[in-house]
Amino acid sequence: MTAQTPNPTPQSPRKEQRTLTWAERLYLPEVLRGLRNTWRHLFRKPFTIDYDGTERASPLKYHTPRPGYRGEHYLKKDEDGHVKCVACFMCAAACPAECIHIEAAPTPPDWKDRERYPVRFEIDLLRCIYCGYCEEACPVDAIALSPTYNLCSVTREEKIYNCEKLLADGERYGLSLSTHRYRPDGVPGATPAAQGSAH
Amino acid sequence: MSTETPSAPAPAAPPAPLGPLPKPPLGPLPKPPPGLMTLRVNGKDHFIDPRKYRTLIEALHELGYPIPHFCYHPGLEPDGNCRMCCVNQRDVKTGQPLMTLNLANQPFTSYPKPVISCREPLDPRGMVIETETPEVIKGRQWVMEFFLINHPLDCPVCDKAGECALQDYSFLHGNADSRFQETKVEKAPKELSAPEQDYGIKLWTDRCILCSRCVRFLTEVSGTSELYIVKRGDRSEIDIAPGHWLNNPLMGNVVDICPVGALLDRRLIFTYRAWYFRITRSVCPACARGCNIIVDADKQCVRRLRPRENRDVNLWWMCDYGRHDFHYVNAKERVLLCRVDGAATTDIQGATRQVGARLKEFAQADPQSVAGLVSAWLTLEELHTFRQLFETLGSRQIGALAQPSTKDEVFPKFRIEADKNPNRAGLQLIFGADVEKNTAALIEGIQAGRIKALYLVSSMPHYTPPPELLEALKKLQYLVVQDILSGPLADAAHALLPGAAFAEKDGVFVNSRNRAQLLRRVIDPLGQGHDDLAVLQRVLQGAGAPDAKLLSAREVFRRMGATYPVLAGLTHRELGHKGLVLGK
Amino acid sequence: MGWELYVLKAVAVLLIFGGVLSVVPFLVFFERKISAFIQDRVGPNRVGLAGPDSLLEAFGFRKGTRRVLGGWLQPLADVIKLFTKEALIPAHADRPLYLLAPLFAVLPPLLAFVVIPVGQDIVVSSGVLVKLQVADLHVGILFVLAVASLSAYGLAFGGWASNSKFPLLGGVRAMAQMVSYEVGMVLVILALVMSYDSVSLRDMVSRQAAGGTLLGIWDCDGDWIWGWGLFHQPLAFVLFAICALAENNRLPFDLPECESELVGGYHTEYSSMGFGMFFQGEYIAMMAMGGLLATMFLGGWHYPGYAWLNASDSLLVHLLAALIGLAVFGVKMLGFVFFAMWVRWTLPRFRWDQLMRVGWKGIIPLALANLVLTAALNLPAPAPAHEKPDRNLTAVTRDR
Repeated sequence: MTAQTPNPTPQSPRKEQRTLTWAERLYLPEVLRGLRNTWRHLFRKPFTIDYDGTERASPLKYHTPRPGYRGEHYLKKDEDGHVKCVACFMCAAACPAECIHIEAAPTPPDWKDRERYPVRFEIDLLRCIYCGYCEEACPVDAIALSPTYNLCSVTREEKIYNCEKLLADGERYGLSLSTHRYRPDGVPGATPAAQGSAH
Repeated sequence: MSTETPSAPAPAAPPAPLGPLPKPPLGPLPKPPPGLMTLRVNGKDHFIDPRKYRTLIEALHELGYPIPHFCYHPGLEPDGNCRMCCVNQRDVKTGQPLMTLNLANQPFTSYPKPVISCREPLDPRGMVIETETPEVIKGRQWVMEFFLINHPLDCPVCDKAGECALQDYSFLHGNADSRFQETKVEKAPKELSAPEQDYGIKLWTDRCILCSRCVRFLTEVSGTSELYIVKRGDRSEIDIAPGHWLNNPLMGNVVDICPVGALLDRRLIFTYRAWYFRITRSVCPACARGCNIIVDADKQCVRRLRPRENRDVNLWWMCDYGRHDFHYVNAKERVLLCRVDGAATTDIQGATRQVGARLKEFAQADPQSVAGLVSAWLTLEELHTFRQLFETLGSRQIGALAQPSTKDEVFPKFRIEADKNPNRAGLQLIFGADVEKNTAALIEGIQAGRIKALYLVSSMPHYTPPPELLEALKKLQYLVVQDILSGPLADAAHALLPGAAFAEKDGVFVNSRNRAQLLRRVIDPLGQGHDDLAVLQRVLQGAGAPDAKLLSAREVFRRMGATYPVLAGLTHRELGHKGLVLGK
Repeated sequence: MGWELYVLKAVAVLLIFGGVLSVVPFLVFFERKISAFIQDRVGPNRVGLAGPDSLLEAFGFRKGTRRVLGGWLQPLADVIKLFTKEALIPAHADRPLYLLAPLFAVLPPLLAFVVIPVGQDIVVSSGVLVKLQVADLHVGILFVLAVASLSAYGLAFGGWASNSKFPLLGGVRAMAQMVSYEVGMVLVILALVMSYDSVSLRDMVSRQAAGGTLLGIWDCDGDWIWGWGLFHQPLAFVLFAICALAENNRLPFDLPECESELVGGYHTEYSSMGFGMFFQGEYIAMMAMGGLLATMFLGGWHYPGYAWLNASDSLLVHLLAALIGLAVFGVKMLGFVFFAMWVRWTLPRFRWDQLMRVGWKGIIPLALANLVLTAALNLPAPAPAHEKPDRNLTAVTRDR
């Protein structure tokens, strides 16, 4: 018989449920501490970034969101300049807001690499909840969420993005942000080791 | 008398264990009632009638054991080529596995092979079957692995995705990763039907798993035998003889029975995704046979019709005429608005009220100056409401329109009926057998000026009115037309009301064999939310019927039992999904 | 000599009520700004002279103007919006009650200002005295309590008349909460009445200004702030502040309208000025509570050095002293309002059972203990350290 070994994976000691002291149950000291905390914040510089006029057009110049930020969508193109999308409806199926509308059709005869493509691809960004499931569902990595965070527009029609608009955004963001890909290995300056150490 | 019995000879030593130890001997099978046999599945005994089933898999399916299968189809002769339905069988007496796989890499001691349940006839002396043992499951996994060796990974662009047997079984029994290192055999897609015609079947050769269902269907059911399997080994593929094309009115069924996305209908290609479909059981309106169908609708659009099993009517099949005859439902030519006093309006309540009042005016002057024309495409409930309307008006001038009949098309196991009206028997049930002959008299009456007002309810999508009818309609003082598509009838109308297509209404059709079957509403009625029944009921209200109410088709049908003895006691619920033969 | 008094009184009334009502929109603005600052945001900064696309920036003023000046016209915009929105009345609402409820929310807290002395009396000429108080009722604090209780009806009516589930729950909560916390509040005030030996709010301020032995143990100087009730009734002060928050339905006691559970609580179904009046009522009630707190605990209009200023013979200095007193009262009152906002953006909401436990098992026993203690200390009935205020002067403008 081998000697009994201690549990090789000890459970983390659970914090004991301790009864509150009289002063704690009075709440007032804690309330005062809370008030002190908010009082300090009252005079802090706000985090808000003030951008106007020209800067508003490309706010990314002002502030680059962290990797993984989910902003407006864009579509990518393949090497031939065609839309990468194969109209498989996976994004539409995954979409919890049902804001992606696709119509599929057989490809023109000169597209040799595949047989179906979207004749219509619309995202209703008014309904979109920016969950990013479409990006995860896409089997050909055609749709992605850009870091664009200024989502305002003047009319409702502007927020229904069609294929051309999404592809144009893809050119704008996909290329200009080639150094800012939303993969852990693609984050500028982030080595795998640094990634590992970061929480 | 010695109570001791001579000791039985020691049982022979069991054979060397094969993989997992054999289970302890089973108890004796219970004696079945006469005429039945005992089928023990996974330790549970069932008494079944062996003459009822062709093979073991049918008994297992009926008992609720989901045996996966590709090549087996209840409507076709069993072939047994896919090996997916294999189950374990044990010896009834010894309880030992009859034949089992050797899992422990030990030398074979017997011929290791489970039974192919779709080919195994039932043994009336009793059978012991196991469907979920590790050997069976392992066997399925291996079969799946072989199927997936050359199957392309194109589910995202395959129209079958979502309703694909290979996909489903791959989830259940497939590996997440392929062990296949070599390149897959590539086979180009090919057209099976003449490319110049707008509809036909296209074959994605690389997706095919060679279950041969399509080949057997075309041999056994349609008897045309266009397809066969050519080449050998992993180069085998479905093909058609050079110079010939797959072109028969039943070929759409091969798309349904194809367990993968290899055979697809060119007309529907890329237009749908299976997981969006709302599935409704209904009846095909294209002929008097009344094939049971499933209507697949996506939002408010009918996308596809496919047959549904009813062994008393259409087996598992339907013809392509019916299969493709739904595009008029969402067509641009649909009558969606009412038209009264020369102006289109959405106010269907006002329009129907006006129509009812006008008809009543004519009837008050002379009841026989008002006539009605119905069609054999209306449901029993609508026809009954129409009859109520004319009883209220006091007129007996009712005729009927119908699609002209063609010739029967007969195939070895299927017949396409000549009568292209879904409810001609129902029409005769409501208005008598010679209602259609009455039409000629009506036309004559109109020409002679005896009939001044006519209410025509057609709702037939492809009807071409005879010229003498169109000529007569011009003589009318007041013509009300209720139709689904604009055309010469709608153009001639003084008042136009929207009709409803088969996918927009509930009701009962009686087929040529006197079988009442349920038509189900799939999408909301496009004509201002009113189907034919609702429009008729509103007109009835407008005509001043004392107790006219807006009722559902279900309720109208329930009340019809009081008028027609053959329908007494029947309800929609009782008709169920498969219908009932009337008067039986 | 009659009509001038009425004019002066009318001016005072307009000043007090008009002041209160016009401050409300700005309080909403301040609340938004304070919440923004506490959360390290900017807050409303668009409407007004400063801010992006504004007039000032068109002329090149940019840096530093936004945070300070931006958005100060926001209250105006809010008011215009509320006035011009369509007032919807739900189809199944109880119409008379539905329309009445916002009035009940606004009027009672406004009426409380009737008896709150916002400044010291101004002696215009000998014998003529203008009280910066609408009516000096002898029942003072009792009147406030009687009137303030009515505001519970506004909330309950609103909740009931909307005929909808969330408002109903909100109304029920409002009723139970206000009744519960009123008990504790009255007990606290009772101790103060003992301590000041009067129910008139005016007397209370006078006694705090005069100093003396309020509790019979501590003889203090009226010149400095030691005469304020805060230092004589510290426990009562804390309890009153808590009860005031609860009576106003402010966080952490805003269960009648808690957004996370009840959408908007009792005013869910209100739009336009119906909602606006509930909103207004809440802020007026906050100010009324602030006024009460200032009057009873913070010496009302009294400030250190008041006695020295007021000793001067010059009418101008006398007026100045009164005006400073008026401002000081305003600062004290708004100080409480600020405190309520500060607390709101600091503390989370209580659970319903916690709220009731705090009310019945915390506040009321403590208030009772405070009452008993005060009574015990006041038993020997100490001789008043000063003369009562001259009743002859006040009799001239008595309203009865």
